[in-house]
Amino acid sequence: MPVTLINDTTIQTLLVVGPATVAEIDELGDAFRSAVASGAPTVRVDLSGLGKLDVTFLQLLVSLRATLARAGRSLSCLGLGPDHPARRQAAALGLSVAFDGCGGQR
Amino acid sequence: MNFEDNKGLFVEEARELLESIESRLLELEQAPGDEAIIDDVFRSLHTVKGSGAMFGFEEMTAFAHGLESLFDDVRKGRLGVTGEIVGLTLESVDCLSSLLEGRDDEAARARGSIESRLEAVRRGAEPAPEADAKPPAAAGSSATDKAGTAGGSKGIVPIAADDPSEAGLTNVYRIRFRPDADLLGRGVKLENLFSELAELGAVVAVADASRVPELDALEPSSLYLSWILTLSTTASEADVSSVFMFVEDYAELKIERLPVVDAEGKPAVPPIGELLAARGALERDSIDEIRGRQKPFGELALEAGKVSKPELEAALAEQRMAKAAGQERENKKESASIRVRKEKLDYLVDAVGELVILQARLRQAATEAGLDEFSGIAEDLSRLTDELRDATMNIRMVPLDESFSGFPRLVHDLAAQLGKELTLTLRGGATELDKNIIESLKDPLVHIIRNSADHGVESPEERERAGKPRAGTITIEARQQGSRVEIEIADDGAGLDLERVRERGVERGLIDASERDPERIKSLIFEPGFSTARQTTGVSGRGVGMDVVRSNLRRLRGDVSIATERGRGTAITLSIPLTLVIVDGLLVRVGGVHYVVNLSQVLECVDEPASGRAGRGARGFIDLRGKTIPIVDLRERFGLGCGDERADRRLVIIDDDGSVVALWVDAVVDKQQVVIKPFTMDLRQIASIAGATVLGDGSVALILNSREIIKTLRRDERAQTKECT
Repeated sequence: MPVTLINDTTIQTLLVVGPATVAEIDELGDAFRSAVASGAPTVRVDLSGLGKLDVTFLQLLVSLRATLARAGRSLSCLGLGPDHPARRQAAALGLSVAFDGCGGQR
Repeated sequence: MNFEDNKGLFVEEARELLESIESRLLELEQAPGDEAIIDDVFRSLHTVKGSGAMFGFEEMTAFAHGLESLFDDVRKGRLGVTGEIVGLTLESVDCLSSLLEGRDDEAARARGSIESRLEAVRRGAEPAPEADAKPPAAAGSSATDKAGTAGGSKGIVPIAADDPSEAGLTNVYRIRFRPDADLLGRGVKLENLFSELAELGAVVAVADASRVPELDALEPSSLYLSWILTLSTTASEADVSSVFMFVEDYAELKIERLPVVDAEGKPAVPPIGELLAARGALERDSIDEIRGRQKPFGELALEAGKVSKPELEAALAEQRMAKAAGQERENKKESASIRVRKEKLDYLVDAVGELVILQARLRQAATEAGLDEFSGIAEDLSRLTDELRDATMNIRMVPLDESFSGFPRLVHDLAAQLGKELTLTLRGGATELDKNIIESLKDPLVHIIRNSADHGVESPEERERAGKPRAGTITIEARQQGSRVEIEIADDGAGLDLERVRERGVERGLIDASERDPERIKSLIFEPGFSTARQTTGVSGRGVGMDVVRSNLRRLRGDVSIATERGRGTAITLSIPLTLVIVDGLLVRVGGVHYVVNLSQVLECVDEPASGRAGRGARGFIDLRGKTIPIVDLRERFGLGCGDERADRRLVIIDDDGSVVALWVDAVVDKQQVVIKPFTMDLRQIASIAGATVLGDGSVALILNSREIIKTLRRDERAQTKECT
């Protein structure tokens, strides 16, 4: 299971563990949609267990951020230190914006 | 320039590329893991293939494609570099050379066998990792194919032909890449594509996420993104384009080369507003709106919310790249070179030679007329002619590297053929020589290297028994010595068996049985048909070679000498004049004939001292400031009799590579530039004469071969010593 949704009345936390590539992307997409559907004001994505990723995951994060922003809700992101390989990969793909506001602390 | 001219340039460049591939392969054999070499070979093959297609070398293109694929497997780690791959690629390079030079029959004979072995090697490659899975439809396409089919594909712009003058210069490319939504479903990994691009140079990528829908409408495995990538690279446009070769049918792709210099060749730094607009990140109307305030444009555009931070950063990076590339071009402008056909250069040298003769005539006429103004003009013209002569001669000077480049391959093949281990060391490749001389040196050098490998260096087992390393070393070293260049080919092999050489010389009646002079014995190896080999091999031993070396060297006014030590090795030294065409000479007269001594060898001219000559025979010695110098009487040397001028004779002291002698001449006439003219076969037989020249008054002067004169002197001295003892 690449993603676990932890329900809370105010914060929905998505715990992403392991690879997040095109092979897992449908499952991740479903989990992200559930988190949005819960209506919680904030959705938090915990990337501390994130493994290998590809462009589809970055695109999913961009979509999630846009969806929440349009509804006046916010996305918080954590578990991604400044030197995390995922950041370099996002930069190489010109998608650093996907991790905007992502902190290193859990 | 017409198509044929361009084709000629391609052939020339392809030759250089194939030579470069060959030397890189030999380096790769020594360092099989060196990715830079692997990349170089791959790119060179790619260029040969791409350029060949443009100029109608279809077979060559098809053949190079197979080889390129092999190296693609190597660079992607599917195949390791092995001796088999290096050997097969070297054979393939030979085959490509045959195709390039129109030796189609030769190529056809080799091609079938090579291609089947190439296929067999590639079948042994590890399967492509998932990341590299390529859509079948795109297989076999290439940058060049793309140029030819641009009209039918989706928004792909034709790629311009690579400009050979651009080689090595940094270009900045803006690549607009918008993949189809289902691209990932075809097994393509964009991350790998982007890293392949990053291997070519510095890349700045910015994705346009404006088409990414909200989650409800998002199909997670589809792509909604597009990119603008800026690449700063020395790679060719074809190389850049080839990165996308397997996705171009499933994407909109546009590759633009950004102007980095203006019409005057100065770095052209595009304003940031223009760049942002060109990249589609800013409306053109906004440029004037923002411009004119005190802050930097980008900062203002960002503050005004007209552009995003990533877009601005990418545009700024693009600006920096363009500026750096433009600066690099400006810096290199001074050293830019053009290719000139050798025939044109030869014509220029001939014309300068005629000018030198004309200038000498003018100078003589001015002196005879006794008119100051006329003499002044003649002197000015003389200075200008000197400058023009030196500049022209310099144009023809090329580094010996050009001649050396084929030797690693030669030694590699000889080692394989002879079952020996050989290491080749090249030194002094930057030493320059006249291009015509370099071309004439190639055969002599090849002969000597073959002899060293075959007869000089022992088998690995023999070497081990002798306490030497298994691998023998052949060292080729070039160095300039005054107006000459010396090339020494040395091996650390067994050395010449002088006793065996002597025996063979006696058997063949070339020397007396009593001959013991090592110099004379060594010189036998330059006799036609002379060989001490007990059996001939495919490499050497037929006695053909060293006599060719000597005769070729003589044609070049050069010389060859040999030093050898039993068990330690042999060194053969070729000594060649820097240029064949024009030299500064000292004109002397002997027995009514004019001779020219190379001015660079002249130390001084002295009157014959009253106490004169001492020593034995007709030559004698002169004591010059405490140094005893042997005298060569040129009248005697050339059989010109006694004459009436003997009373006023002078001595010209020359130094030829450390050997100092005094040439006894009737008169020293003048310093003069002389143009060396080819002479007839009859004169070529006289070793002491290196050539002929036409003087200002139209008469002919002979150019002395000082080295040969000194050698004859030494020989005579040895003979006399032998007689006395």
